[in-house]
Amino acid sequence: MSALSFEQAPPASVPLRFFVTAPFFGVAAGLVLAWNWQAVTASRWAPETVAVVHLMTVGFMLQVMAGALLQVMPVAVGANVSHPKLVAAIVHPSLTLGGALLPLGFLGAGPLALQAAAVLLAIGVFAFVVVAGLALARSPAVGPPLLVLRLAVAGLAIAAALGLALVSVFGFSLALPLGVLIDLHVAWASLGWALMLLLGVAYLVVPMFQLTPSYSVRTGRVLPALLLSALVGWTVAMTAHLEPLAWLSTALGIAGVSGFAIVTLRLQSKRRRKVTD
Amino acid sequence: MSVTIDARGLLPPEPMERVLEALPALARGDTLTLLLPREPFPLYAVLTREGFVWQTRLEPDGTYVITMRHA
Repeated sequence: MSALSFEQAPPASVPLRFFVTAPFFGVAAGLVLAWNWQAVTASRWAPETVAVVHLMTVGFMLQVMAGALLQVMPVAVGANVSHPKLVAAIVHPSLTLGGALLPLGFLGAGPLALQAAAVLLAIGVFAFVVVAGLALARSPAVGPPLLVLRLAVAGLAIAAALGLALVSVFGFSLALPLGVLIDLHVAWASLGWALMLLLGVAYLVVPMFQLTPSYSVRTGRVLPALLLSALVGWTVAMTAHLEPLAWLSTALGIAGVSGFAIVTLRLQSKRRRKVTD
Repeated sequence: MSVTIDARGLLPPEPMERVLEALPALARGDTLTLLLPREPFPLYAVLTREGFVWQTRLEPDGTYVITMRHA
């Protein structure tokens, strides 16, 4: 009988380029902090703060998450990315250049830097969303991990669209409701993309590597439903100024996040492998 | 005859190794059942190549039950 097959995984160079690039953005964030940490700690709205946040989230996290997803989607949920080298050749330079120009624009490099960042990040993110979305749409997998990964990629698309709208305010002087857009951008990026992705990956790797019991199918569906309800509720509440709905959505979001933590801790307490890793 | 491998307490790649050890001994008409906390897509590729067919069922507790036999 033949040994393990890795034919479904893309070439190592596809994810590796994202993983090699990401730390440089972390270093850049550290340099901005070292240069002017007073501004970063003083205000959420300081240009240095916005630059550091995006160096870490777009520059570091998005690079790693995009590269890792291209690598694991085929083996984790049978979502095969077609032409992975071509996809990486488009997505990686777009995210890298856009991810560098965006914080430079925040730090005063001017509207041209923000405009170029908007175009490059739009190309990189939406190329990734389309490719990953198609692969996930065609996946034959059954169960919650596939559902949650699909929601995460949709969350990234919404977060990026809101981000582009925000850059348009600064870079193209469009008149849009800034405060609402910022809050929704942060909510969709953190809960709709990052936490949703963490949820989907946890469903796979917590039982696999920590040898815990599985997340039940019901839990696997209820947790993303809570997060999605919170995000949709917030979006409606903030655009229509419905305060009771905002409170209800916050409660749903807290239930989703804390529910994920409690369920995961319970599973880890029942792990089959009793050795501390 | 039916053989079951409960691989839910095994670290990768041991579940795959157990299945690859058991498949050559599987007679026509017999089934090999694997219990796993995830869907084993790398195994599916091997099964297709080696001429086996399989059915996957997801239990409410999150266990995937993969039943394999000769095509």
